[in-house]
Amino acid sequence: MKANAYTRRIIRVDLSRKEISTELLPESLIQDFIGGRGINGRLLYDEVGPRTSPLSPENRIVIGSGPLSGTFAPAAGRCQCTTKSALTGIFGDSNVGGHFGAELKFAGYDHIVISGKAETPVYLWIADERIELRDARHLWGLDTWATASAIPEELGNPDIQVLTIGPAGENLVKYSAVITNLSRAAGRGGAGAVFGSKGLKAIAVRGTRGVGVARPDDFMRSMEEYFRRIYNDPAPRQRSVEGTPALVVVMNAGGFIGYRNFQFATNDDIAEKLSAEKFLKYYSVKSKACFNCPIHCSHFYEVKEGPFAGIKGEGVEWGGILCLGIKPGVDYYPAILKANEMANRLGFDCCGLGDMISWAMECFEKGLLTEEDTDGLSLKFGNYESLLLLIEKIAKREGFGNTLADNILDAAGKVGKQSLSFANHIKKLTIMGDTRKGYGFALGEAISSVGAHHVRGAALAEEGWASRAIPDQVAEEMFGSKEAKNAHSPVAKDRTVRWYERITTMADCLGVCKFVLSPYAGQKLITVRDLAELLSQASGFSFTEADFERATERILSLERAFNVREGLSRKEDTLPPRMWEPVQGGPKKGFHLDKELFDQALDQYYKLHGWDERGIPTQETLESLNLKFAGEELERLGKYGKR
Amino acid sequence: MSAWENTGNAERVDIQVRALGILKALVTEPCISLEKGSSVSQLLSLLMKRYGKPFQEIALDPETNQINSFICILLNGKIVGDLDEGLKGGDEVTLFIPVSGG
Repeated sequence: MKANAYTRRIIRVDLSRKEISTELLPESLIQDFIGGRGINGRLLYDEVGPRTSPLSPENRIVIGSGPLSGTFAPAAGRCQCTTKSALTGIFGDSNVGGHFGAELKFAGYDHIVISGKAETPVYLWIADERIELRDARHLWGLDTWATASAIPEELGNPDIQVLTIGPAGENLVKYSAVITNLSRAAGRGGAGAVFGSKGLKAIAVRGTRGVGVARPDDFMRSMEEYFRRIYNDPAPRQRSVEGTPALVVVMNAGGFIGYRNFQFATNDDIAEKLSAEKFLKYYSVKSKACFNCPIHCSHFYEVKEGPFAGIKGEGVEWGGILCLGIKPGVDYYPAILKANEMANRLGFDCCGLGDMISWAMECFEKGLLTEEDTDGLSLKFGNYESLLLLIEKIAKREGFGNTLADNILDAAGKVGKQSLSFANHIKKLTIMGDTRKGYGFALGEAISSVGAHHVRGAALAEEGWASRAIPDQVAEEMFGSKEAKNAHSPVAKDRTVRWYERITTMADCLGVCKFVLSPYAGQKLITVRDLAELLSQASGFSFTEADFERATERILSLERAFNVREGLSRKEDTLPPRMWEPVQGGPKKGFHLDKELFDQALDQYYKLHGWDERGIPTQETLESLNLKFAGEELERLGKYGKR
Repeated sequence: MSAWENTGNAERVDIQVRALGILKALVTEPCISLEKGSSVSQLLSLLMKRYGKPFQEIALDPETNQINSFICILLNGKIVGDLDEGLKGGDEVTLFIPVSGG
């Protein structure tokens, strides 16, 4: 068989029946859905219906490494975890770095589909052709780090890659994550709870077969060119030094720091204390890379003195600093590093975790919660002792921790209606970054298929520095108007969001990190066109930029159809109360998103994708995207109403 | 004679320069003296000259020979869109290469 970056094999595991099989990945799925997120989504759509409870045996966990994952392509170690979300009840999909995705390819598989529920805890062990379920009763209760050590030890191979849940997932905390390489998380959406509901502690994989490419000479020539671009561009060089903590200063300067549960747009004092400069100077030990990444944006850290001396971990990323530090008002770096370590070990989405605690702190500040409600914990903003104790209690669902272990609407239901006005979520997924950056950012988060998401449709053209980075003429060519760069204008935000959706969707499909792609027009990294060429060289199939654009439309429309099938429509594509309020302080002080203008942008976005005014993909659109089956199903379910 | 070069008799102002990330190791002086009325653009040109090739390799776009448009410049914490913006004594200019991420 000719070498191909696709292994063309899917593993199927039925935990209830203890059955394991493999099947061929059909070429039609490759052509239409590319890989990773795209194929995962199609498999989930077919196998999980609106009556499937996320925590039932009928739900699926679909793991997908992209076709480029495991190849020499830069930063190609990403992996996608897709399931019906335990947190949101809709399409759940999260991307994770590290080495697991590449190792799965080395073992000879593109995807894993897991169904059923194990009688007693198990883990899945994949070693090339050998695939088996192994007893995990002795691992149940261990944190992710202990599990990631124990499995390679008992299997006698330190090179095994492990994707695992911690106690939070076992206890079905709705924003629990699946963790690999100690701190890389498929975090958003609560995949950890789905693992936990199935009694699946972990997936361990070791492969020795390598990954072939169809046109190695062309592929390697492309590699030389792309690595050259990455090494010569200032942005990757910047990332390689500071990583995502660089965003602390950037976001504070822009007025998006979300201090104290998004009550304040900036706080110079906390931004100074939590800057990347401080992190590098006092805590970073060395850089850390995911599979085949020339950037190595992450760091190993260690706290060397003070009450948290001895704390070690990896990261901490902007999301951790923001959600475990700035939003809950904690300005003491060692405490944030401790919280980050706990989040990773216990198996949390650190963003969801910090967001819930920050919301509870505001409830406390406003007198909606007292120490009588919180098991005696004083939840004042900035109280990191209480924050750390609460993390432990949430993981165990103990006392007040149980109140915070479900989604934010469930928690608000227990605390009282007044708390809804600052429960910052979209479709029950808490908002990580401030959506008041601009109309494009707000639109991108409001329409994301998984709920609030700061990456999938992030309109980076609206960032303040884009005014110089993207010339007006380029903005007009790419987005239809230079207004794409004006954060305060709703004009052309449909096309802007779609432009970024193409980059992020294809990255999630191919298994490459978004950090090697070109997020700004004119930046000389890797483009969608380059990715199409690269996949053609790697797979032997022919893909063009137009194919990728079409595939993106198809993937987004199918994810949308999945959510429409669950009962969602336009009314959920909106922002929570605080995100309509004027920005408090900073350079954007007083700016607020106008609902009417936002609605206009939403209308345009729907139209651009061929969705009706309710945000439902029309049957014509679905048919044109080779998704006729989805249109027929929505019709059967009465989603189009009377005609 | 350029406006930012020391003529010896023009009134001068001190500008605090804070470089972050990979620029930090290159910009070694935290305070730069400029002729009064200088712009952000003129400050950048001085930095290019003073810190030479290592700074230019990052800060200069080789195709346009202009300041790399991806370098983010803050003036007293606010993003600078127009490089002709004027500077006054005591201003703080922050330079870094912006990144996105989560």
